[in-house]
Amino acid sequence: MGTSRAAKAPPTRKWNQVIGSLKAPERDAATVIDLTFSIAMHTLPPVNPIAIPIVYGISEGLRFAADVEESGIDVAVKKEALRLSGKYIIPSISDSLWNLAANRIDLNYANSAFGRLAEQAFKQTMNQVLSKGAAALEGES
Amino acid sequence: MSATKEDAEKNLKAFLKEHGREGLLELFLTNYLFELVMYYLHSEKNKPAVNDDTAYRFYVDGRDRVYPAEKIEAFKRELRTECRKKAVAIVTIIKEKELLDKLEREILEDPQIAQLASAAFQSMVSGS
Repeated sequence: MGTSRAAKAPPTRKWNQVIGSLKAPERDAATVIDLTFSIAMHTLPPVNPIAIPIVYGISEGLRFAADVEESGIDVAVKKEALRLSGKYIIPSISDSLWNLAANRIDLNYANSAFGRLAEQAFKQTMNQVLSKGAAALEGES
Repeated sequence: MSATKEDAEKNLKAFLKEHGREGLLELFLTNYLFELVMYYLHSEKNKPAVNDDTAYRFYVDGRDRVYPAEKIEAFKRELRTECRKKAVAIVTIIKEKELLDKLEREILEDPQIAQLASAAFQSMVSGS
């Protein structure tokens, strides 16, 4: 048996509403999403560990995109001192950019479960955009 | 064949030409919110408040029958669509508050930018 464990549900009886929405015969994604986020967010501390990693990730991604648009990728890579791997150019750009973002936030945030989720989403986003171009977002509709 | 730096540049520029920087933000937030909701929907019991396993209920219906794989995949797509709607709403707020440029350039100099962006994110996600 594996050693990994899922996170515990948020410590509030209100979470049973989420479970109830999953049990519904015709479960509704919008209801599940709204209940999940509204109940989960209210169980978190005031200084939100969820938003900080994503905000710094966004900042890093936007800055790199602007630099590439204005000056080209060679200049952007050099400016941020990104370490690229010859064989895996795109994943190495995403990795290096995330490392820059993670270095700018509190280690506790970066290494938290939410920091890991932000890392995963950030790298996925950059990989999608750098490998698919405009189609990365078109596939969403 | 592996993508080159030139491929990456061409793709990124094509994305920005079509969707702009807000498109990048929208995709990132959609991916993040989807990861976040899947994280919560795969949580386990937390007694005494929560006596059921949420992850079990994600895959098994109210009559204890396992959902077919295609139904689970369809539900995940619906969840992702809802996450995208929230992402679009957050992007709208970020733009209204004129935070997009600031997020890109001034976040390192002004910590308040990060707080404002966090607040926008939090308010849209939690519905408060």
